[in-house]
Amino acid sequence: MNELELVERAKTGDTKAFEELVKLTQEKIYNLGLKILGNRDDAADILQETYIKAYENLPKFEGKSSFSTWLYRIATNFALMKLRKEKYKKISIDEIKKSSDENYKLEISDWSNSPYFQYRNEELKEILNNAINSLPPKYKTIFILHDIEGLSIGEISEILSLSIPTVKTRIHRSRLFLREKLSEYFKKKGNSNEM
Amino acid sequence: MKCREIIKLLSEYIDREIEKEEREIIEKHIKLCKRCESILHTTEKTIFFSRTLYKNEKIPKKIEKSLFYQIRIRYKK
Repeated sequence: MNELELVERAKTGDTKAFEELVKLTQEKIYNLGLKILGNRDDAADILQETYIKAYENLPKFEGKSSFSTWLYRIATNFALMKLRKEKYKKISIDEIKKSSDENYKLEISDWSNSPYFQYRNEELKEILNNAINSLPPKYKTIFILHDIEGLSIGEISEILSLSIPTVKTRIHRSRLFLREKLSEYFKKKGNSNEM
Repeated sequence: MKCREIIKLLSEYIDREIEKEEREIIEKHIKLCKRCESILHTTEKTIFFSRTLYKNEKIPKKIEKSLFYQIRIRYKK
């Protein structure tokens, strides 16, 4: 049975069909929570809240988007609520705008071939991880949905009820902000090819 | 196109979301402009590097069990 048939059955009260849907999608939802929130306890909460809400709202699901996209939407909203309470110090929207809009003025170095750029460089990983966590909640979520999970801009626009240009701008700004954070590290190391 | 406009389009360029004509303008510009070329390369590396931070994992059995318990108690309502 495919997703659509299972949804139709679940809507008529077939709990076996609903459980089948949970089994098919739970890993995706759990990992999305884990990526956005960074720990198993919160990911487990998101997982439960998502399927309880999905079960309760199933009669209202009209199938305008796929069942998975609908679940992502529920999970993302719960994750965003939790993310807003996080202890990480967030940067302001102005700061993120500045780092992307004024990029062209800055001194630029190409560190893409720096000897410090290694996938095993733990210091670099920590810098990037902290930078991702400092993104404003919606920016972080969009960045993860697009660049980590590989969701399309159209899907993200549906999930977060944002226009396509807004999603695109936020992806772009997040990337440039993160790039700048890594650039600061390489600048400190002084081992990239300064121009 | 100026550097500022090129940089604005870089993400769409990386995601292959732009028209052929603009793509060609960007490629031409990048060949001549080291600065924009550097921004493009380091942005691409930032994205690839970000992916290495996240790994998918299997749901721990305890969490899955608790999920199904929470769902099933709602069936009776």
